[in-house]
Amino acid sequence: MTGGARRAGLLGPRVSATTGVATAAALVALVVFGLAIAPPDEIQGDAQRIMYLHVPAAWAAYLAFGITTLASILYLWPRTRSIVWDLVAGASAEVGVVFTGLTLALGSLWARPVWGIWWAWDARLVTTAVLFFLYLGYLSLRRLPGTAESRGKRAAIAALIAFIDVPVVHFSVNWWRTLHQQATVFNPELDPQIHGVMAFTLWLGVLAFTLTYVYLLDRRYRLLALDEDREERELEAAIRARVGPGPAGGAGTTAGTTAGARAGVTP
Amino acid sequence: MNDAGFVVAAWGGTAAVLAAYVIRIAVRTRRAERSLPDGDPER
Repeated sequence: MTGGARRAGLLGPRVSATTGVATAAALVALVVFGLAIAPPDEIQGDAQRIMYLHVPAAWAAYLAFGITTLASILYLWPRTRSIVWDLVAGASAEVGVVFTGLTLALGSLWARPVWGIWWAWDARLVTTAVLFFLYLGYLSLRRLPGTAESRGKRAAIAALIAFIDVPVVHFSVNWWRTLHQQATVFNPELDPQIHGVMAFTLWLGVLAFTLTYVYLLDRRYRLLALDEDREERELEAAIRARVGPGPAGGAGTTAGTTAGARAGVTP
Repeated sequence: MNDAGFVVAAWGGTAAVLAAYVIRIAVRTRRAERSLPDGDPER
């Protein structure tokens, strides 16, 4: 894929705009159902309405890190290696970190009225916090200097290592005795413990946050592609300024020259 | 703070975070587009 094609984003302008509208509509519907139509929980009262955000945010984080892992595998696999997969992985990880941060904050806001505490050193909470910091580390790793290829490879390997924590987070409530409740929908018995309007609202939340993830991924990917193009242009300009025009009077450098020089020139 | 306060904080905070993130991406994208040699419209 060329720089110009990458700049168009993953979805293209039309589909991206449509996704944006669909996302906004789904989020508005979620607000209406979550705050007005769904009844308060019999035991938790209105505090349970936070679950319509907390659970979808956790799902979106899982999805984001899953896509990061898939894109990283495709980048590491020689036959499918492309900078596109590296950019998809980076964009998806950043969106995943935002959703993980939301998951932690929303869980804390729910825990205070229901558990009476903001935080507990509970397996689910701790493994989720570890997940948050693992992917923050991944994003930091991506900012280290080096060639696009070396950055892509080390980031992809780090992404595969970080993803190990995702199933640990999900199954932590089954593996250890925790304060956090077990999965309501995807429990080991696959017997959802939520019904009617409350179940519908939860699924609506999952849909709305999935669309939000797709929209954010597309926008963030486009920004990464634009930044990548700018870096390439700046590097070529720097090489031209240092080397001067070629023997035929041309000012261009080959892609090989540029790629080879990146390691030395990039700060 | 009663339950309603926590609910408002959670929903309002989520809306604020997502809106801030979308705006941040949009601003940085606009800035990156302006630096393109061809001025880039989205394509």
